[in-house]
Amino acid sequence: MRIEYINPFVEATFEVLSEILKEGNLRRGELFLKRSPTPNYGVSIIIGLTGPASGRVLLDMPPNTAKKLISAISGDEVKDLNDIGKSALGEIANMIVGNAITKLYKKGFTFALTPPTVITGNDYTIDTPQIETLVVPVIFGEDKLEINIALKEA
Amino acid sequence: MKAVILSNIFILANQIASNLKRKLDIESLVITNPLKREIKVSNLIPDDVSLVIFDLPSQEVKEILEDLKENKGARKIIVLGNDDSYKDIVEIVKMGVDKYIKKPFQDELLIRVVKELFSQQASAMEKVDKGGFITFARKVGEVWVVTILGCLEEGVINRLESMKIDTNKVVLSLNGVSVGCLNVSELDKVIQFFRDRQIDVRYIVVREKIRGLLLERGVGEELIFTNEVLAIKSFS
Repeated sequence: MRIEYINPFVEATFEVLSEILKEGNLRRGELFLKRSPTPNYGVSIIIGLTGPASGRVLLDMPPNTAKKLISAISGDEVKDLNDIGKSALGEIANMIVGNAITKLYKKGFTFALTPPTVITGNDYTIDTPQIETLVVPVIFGEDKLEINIALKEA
Repeated sequence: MKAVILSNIFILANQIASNLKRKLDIESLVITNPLKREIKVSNLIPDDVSLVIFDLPSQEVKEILEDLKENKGARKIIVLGNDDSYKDIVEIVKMGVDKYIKKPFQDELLIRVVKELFSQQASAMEKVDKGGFITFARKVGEVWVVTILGCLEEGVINRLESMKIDTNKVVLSLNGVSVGCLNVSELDKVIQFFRDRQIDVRYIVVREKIRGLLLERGVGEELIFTNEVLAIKSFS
């Protein structure tokens, strides 16, 4: 996986989370590789990509982190992950993807993307066969989110 | 939806066409036999056609798909196959076909496949435009939901025009627009695009800067929302 494809998504996630949470103390956890599907935290946003590389980017977080993000953009405290909450998460995903594609475009990479899809639940796994997944943990206070990037060069 | 059936068996094509028209919202449906005469693919399948059904021998299917591959866009392509070999089927499917249906099949199967393909359209891939943006559009009931991601640059209006929005209710998400490459004159054009067509727009905006630009341009605060569900609900 080329770092040029990975960095825009990582940077965009940091920028957008800093913007909506209005806090600068986000930090990156230790990167690791996933070779097989593992249980997810309960709330995932998936974006499919094709172009110079194909695969998917997945933002994975526990429900409490998702609620915190939704509260931050809606201005109200969120208790349930209902349709309104999921829709708000979709908008956060739009912000991240919009920033990322701008960064990629400025580097000369043109991708095709699927609209971000929000999935919630307790018992699901998301697998991308034959593509190693690079996981970039993002930690802010007691909350965490993982950026999973699984891209294969075309 | 505009559809084209490319077939060399008129009776079967006619039967499929009447079934599709009965069960689906088809605006126009043309049956053409490309084997009868030399016709360019662009004439066979105009740009505004969203569904193409092939009912032809596999060699002809492959030739037309080869010509079509650069301009497939968001079109859905279904191939009705007969006695094609496994190799032919694999080759055809790899050429951008959305669904291969082996004959004989029940009429209901084709209807179901078409419905499934168009329900998936919301998650279809969109390529970054040369202006550095991507647009997604889908219809939720009577409301068109349009999303712009990346730069707000020249070319966005062409994209909006190509969407063929057929209602006067639109939810426009601008959250994915990068503030660093937001061309304000293009934002003006977008707002004017909808005003000229008397389309009622609800904006989804979280970013303060974009919100401020909309307010400066006379967009009422009551028309700006933080998410799609609330924006759609506001029409009722």
